[in-house]
Amino acid sequence: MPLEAVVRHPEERIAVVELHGRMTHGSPLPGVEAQLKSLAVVKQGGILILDLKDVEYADSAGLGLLVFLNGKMKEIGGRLRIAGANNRILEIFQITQTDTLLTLDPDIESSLSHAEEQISH
Amino acid sequence: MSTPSFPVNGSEVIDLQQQVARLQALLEAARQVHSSMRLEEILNCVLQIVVRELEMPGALFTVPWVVYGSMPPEPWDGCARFPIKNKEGKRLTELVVALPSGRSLSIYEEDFLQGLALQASVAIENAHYHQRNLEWARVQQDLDSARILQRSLLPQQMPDIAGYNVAVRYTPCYEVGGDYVDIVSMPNGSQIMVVADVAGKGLASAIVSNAFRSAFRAMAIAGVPLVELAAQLNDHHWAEGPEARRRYVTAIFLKLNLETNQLQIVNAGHNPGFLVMEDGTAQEIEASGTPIGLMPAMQYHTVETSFPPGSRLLFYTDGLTEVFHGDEEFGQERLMAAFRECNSKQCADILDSLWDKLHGFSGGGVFQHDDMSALALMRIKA
Repeated sequence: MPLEAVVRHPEERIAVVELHGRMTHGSPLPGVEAQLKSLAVVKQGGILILDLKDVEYADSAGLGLLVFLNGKMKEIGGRLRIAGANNRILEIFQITQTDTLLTLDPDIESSLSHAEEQISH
Repeated sequence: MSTPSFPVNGSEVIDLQQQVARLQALLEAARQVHSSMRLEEILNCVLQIVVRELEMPGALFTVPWVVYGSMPPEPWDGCARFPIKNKEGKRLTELVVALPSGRSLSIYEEDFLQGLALQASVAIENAHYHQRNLEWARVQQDLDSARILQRSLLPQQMPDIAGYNVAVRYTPCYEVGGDYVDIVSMPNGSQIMVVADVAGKGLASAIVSNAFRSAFRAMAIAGVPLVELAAQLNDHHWAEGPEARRRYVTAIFLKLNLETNQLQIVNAGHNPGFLVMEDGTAQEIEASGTPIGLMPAMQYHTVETSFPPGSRLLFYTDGLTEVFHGDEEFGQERLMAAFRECNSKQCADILDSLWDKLHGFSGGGVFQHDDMSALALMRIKA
């Protein structure tokens, strides 16, 4: 299944984007990236939550995008949270030790409650 | 082409002879229009037919702008206009024809110009395809040269290391790839080896891979210790900016000290290196830090290990573990099992047998989805 992004905005400073499909080289990663970059939170520095529960798999190009977004969000004073990554993806985070770098939450509910906490501070 | 003149008044019927002459004229015009694949030539040819053969005062194409004969100024009042569309109906350009003063087009002229415009649209579309083919051929040639260059930078011959046997294998997914395998032989006989994988694949990853290669080789030859080499590569890559960072590099480095027969291994976010002893006991050498270029100021650690006779080691890129059979991945465990079971005495044979296993596993499906590289090292049992 080609990669797709469904954007949901529960709050103005928090954006939730559900990704579906495979985050791999050759999938429409650049299109999804452009879609994410157009979000207000990515331009102005809010909290971007990527819900990966429906992402089957990510390769190095997919991980590259996550790390890129993570850096970009930090740069503008925002934050990237990754929710619901499956075991295959968690294993890639672990092999590359990017689990030490990315903010990972088990599911979207936990991402949202952390995000709201961060906003209220 | 002789231009037959068909004075047709109102509903007068064109006789058969005239129709034949008219079709011949159009056929000849079509032959001329289709005799070139170059856009400018086609457009000029069409305009010349309109002006010289049909004896119109002037004609032009709007895009690209080509004029022949004399045209009234824009917006070309009183001119006949023929939009030129491709097969999908998208407008490519427009043919604008100036009329002889004081009259409109005859039915014959109108008909001829319609036919000419149709021929022009086919010829113009073909010229676009031809141009695209030429551009594609140039890109393909570039990629071919890049592939030849990248191949030439791989170790061409395995170093002759007394008491050891080594082999590498590299299969890019596309013309060029982001995997990198290398062996640097030091003057004191020790050997530095690396297997690395740039995130993504194709040309962009190949560019990063080559920059990585240069920096790695320069430091390796200068005798920089592996942990420091990895840390410096990391900082250097990070400093290249966000686009380079997303093309981070997972790498596993090895130094074989021939005096002590010890191995030093540094794993920077790469798949674990496999170490198998003669008795079959296995060890995985996991990452001690994130991939090169992902985080600033990363510190890596060295794993020091002895490498007694009969032991063997495998470094590989994830293109090997990510061979699929349907939805099932070959995976790290199967790769380790295949490596442990293989008791060949030649590293080249070990790699061949691994590649065969992967082929077999994919069950004849699309075998390769990513660049695939591996390095095998063995200490020969006396």
